[in-house]
Amino acid sequence: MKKIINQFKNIEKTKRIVICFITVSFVFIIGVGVYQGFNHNSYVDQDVKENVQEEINNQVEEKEESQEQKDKEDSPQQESSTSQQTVETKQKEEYIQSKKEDKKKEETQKKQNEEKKQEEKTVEKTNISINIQIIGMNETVLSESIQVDKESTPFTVLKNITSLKGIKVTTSGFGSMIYVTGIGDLKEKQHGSSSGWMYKVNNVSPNMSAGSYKLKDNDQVLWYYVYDE
Amino acid sequence: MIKFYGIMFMMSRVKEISLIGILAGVNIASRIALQSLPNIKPVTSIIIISVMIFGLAFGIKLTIVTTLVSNIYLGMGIWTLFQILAWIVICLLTQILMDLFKKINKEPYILIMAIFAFLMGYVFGFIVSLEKFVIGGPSLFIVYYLAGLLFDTLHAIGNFFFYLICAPILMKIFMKERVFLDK
Repeated sequence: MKKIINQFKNIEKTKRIVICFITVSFVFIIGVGVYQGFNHNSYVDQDVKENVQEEINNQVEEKEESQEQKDKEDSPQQESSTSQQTVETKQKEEYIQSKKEDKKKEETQKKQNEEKKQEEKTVEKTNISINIQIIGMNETVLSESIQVDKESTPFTVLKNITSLKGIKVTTSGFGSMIYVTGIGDLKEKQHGSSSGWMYKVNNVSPNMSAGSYKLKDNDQVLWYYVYDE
Repeated sequence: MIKFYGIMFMMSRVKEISLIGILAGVNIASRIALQSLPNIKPVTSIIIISVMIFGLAFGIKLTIVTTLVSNIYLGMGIWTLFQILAWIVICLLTQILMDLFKKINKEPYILIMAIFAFLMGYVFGFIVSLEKFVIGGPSLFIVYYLAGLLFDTLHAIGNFFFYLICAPILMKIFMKERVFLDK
């Protein structure tokens, strides 16, 4: 160590200053970067919690309007497919409204049972239950609830339930930057150049990869296929 | 040619300021004129040559002047700090290489220095994409860096050819002026 310090003092003055400046700036950059890497998810969660109820109301109103428009447009063309669509859209409406009421009940129950849940979490192994829904082009592929580990992401939940049902999932990327290209037979870019799979949690789309978002208990995950036509 | 490094050490302040002004003007004008071609600029090659001839302190002053003034035209932001940092790292590396050549007592060949300029393009790209590491964490940094490797190869190829064009001309000019500048 003393040799290195002596060598360091023998270097010229300008080089010494430059080397110190560069090392200090690199240490600062790496420190802030690692700090940001750990704190990124919690920052998104706060925004999600604030905007959840407003977005649910807006989306329910939008879906009702779009359903009315769809009924008006499709009625002169094909009657059998419209009857199926109206049945499915009505089912979706009922499902969403029932989920809303369930959510309100769950929230009140959560406030009452917070202490009990904390005790349970510390004692037992932590498993959380997630509702997952996969909606293809004109049909729901599946809609279930499943028990998963505490630290799971929407992608791991998708993988668990499709491996149980025997549906194939194709992906690209790895780790926290994973991207789902196809579920079952529906792949991206098959129905238009900007078609593909997207996901929402509690009817809010978090702006991150499906491998990064951390799920909480009683979350609702929705994977849906977006297409141009 | 053997004794050309380290000769411009005892320059008077006025001559130093005028030299910085001329070289910075060449850098800024070329950077603005070539802004349509993606990431091809002779700035890195000229900074390497000036550090070889004039020393480390001169190179640092040159980088600060060119970066600040050219980013007034091209857009100022937090990336200017990272560009200055990247070019200071390049200056330091060339000065260390020159000390190596002084110890071995050989003159630097043009091809070796051109390949060195090629590698400095990638170093520049790496440090400039470290900005995203501060903002978004390691995942954003990896995405940005891998998407920008094409630009870095263009920068490196531009460095290579600009070094081969600029080096003989500038060396001859400064060798001629060597007698007068020392006084």
